[in-house]
Amino acid sequence: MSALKTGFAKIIRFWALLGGFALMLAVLVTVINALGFSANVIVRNFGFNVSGLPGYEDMVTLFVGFAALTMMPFCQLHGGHIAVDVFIKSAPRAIQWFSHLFSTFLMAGIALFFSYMLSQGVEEARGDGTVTSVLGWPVWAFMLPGVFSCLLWFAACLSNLGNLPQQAEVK
Amino acid sequence: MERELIGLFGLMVVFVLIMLRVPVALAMLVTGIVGSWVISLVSPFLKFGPYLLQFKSALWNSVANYDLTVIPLFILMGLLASEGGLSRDLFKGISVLTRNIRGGVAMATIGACAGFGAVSGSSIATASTMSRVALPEFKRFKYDEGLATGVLAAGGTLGILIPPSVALVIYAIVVEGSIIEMFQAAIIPGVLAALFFIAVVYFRVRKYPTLAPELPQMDEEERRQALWRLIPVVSIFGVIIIGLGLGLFTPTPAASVGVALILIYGIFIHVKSGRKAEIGIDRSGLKNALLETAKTAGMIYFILFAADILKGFFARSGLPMALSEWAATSSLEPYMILIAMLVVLIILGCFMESLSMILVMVPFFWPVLVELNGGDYVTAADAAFGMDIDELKIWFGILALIVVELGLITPPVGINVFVIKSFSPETPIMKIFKGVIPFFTIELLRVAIILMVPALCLILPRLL
Repeated sequence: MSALKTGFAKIIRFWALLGGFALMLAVLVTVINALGFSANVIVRNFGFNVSGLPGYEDMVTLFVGFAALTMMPFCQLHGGHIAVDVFIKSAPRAIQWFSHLFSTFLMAGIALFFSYMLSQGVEEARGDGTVTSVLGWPVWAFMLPGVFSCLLWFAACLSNLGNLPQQAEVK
Repeated sequence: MERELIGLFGLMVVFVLIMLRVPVALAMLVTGIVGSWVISLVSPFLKFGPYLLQFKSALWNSVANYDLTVIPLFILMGLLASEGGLSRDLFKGISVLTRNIRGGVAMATIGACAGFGAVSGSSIATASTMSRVALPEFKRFKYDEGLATGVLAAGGTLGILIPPSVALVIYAIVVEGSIIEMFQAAIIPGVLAALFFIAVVYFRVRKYPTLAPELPQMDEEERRQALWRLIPVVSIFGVIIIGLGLGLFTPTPAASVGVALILIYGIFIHVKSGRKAEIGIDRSGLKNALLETAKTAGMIYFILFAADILKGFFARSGLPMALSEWAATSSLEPYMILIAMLVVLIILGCFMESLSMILVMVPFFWPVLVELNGGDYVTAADAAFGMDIDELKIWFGILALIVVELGLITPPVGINVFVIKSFSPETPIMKIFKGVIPFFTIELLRVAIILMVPALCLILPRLL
């Protein structure tokens, strides 16, 4: 069981880093675009023209959209979601456990629900041939990893079942 | 009326779930979905089946949104600045400048909190980063614990208002306002807060000199190095803040350029130091920053999505509309209602986290304010608050964020106070709260000033 949890933790961490990489790609294309526009301000005085990166908003939106979904399981695993612990922390241990299990099962159910609905959404976007407005990239290809993210999110919930929030590992 | 009652009951359920330690986003999401189902039972024309189908694409549409791309980028920028030691350089540089003033370390902390708050955009991140940097200095120079921790807790709150701030971005999205104008509007109130905090330190130390002992003279070489290291930090922060303030950048490019500049600078000083682990940004520093970004951005994206679902439920219940109709027909004084709203936010701030409060309460308060002001299309001359709807968005946003940030230092939750406590475990929590009281009081004065002089928020968006 512990090996399974460790394995999931590693996959979730890798997945979040992949999202981080996508975020860095978004930074790169935005900076190139900004440099292009800045260069144009200077060279247009000499009759030249430098363009920005065509469709950069499409790229940034897709990269960050992909990154955001990869972050959800990591956030869940490391207790990143805000919760207000005013009354429960001083409640009897049984109530603390009830609150924790109730939240965790609810979150796991939501994650499963999202993975199912998102898989339907991928099918729909693929069937409809939905593409981005400028670059014409297929949107479903960026939605698909989101289904995996939601399944990992579900796994992250189950991994946390045995730990009360204050015992959850935070790295 | 049945639907409105369901909406009201739903609002109470959200608060009850939150108090039961259910994560805020989950409480909002579940209430939104279950509430919409209950409404479909009493209003057959609001069918639940078609409502559920929106979830095929709702999550993706919520995260793949260009306006929101700025959020993880600002978070990453702040974390890289922290990993790269920019916060430390900023604090040390300002410390040199305030060295000869009694209480100078506390003033430098406030200045550094304001500067770092500008790039981190988060109050909690500012409080924790500056605690790490400034607490050892406070201890070294034997500052009073109450003053030191109070300064850090209060200084941390500057992050929420000094642009670019994630909270400003989220507020602008909730009320469909301009992010850039919100940034511009927050500059004067943010600077005012920093100046007021410095004034509090100055007068407290003058009255009780033992709070902040006089400091020994600094070694000339150390002084020169601290000032030298301040230059790149001020340049990077300056490019971002001035670029945004003057409208040269939109938020996403500003955040991206900030990330790129801080990363390049961090790698440069790391390599220059002979690849010492604690200086600049190395591979593990970048990894840490990306993983912390994942944790924080994942939380924010989920809560924004959940807030959208909850907002949909409230819209189906017709509760915000009923409230705004009530406001329009009531003979209550608009300013009294506005002040009551701010008081509610302060009280809620004692229990709830700031982002959740903006997302839960602003969608209720905003339509009421619009009606009180005279409706969507009222001109400034005819409006109850003397301003049109765009200016009202800005003014109310700044006021709401200031009182929301007060919640960060108000007992019993006061998240910033607990952040400081975690860095200074030997300081009793009551001592930190006592240290915060003078800053809390001056904040109330700032709210009163901005209530009376809205131009403090409105002048920069008008001029720039």
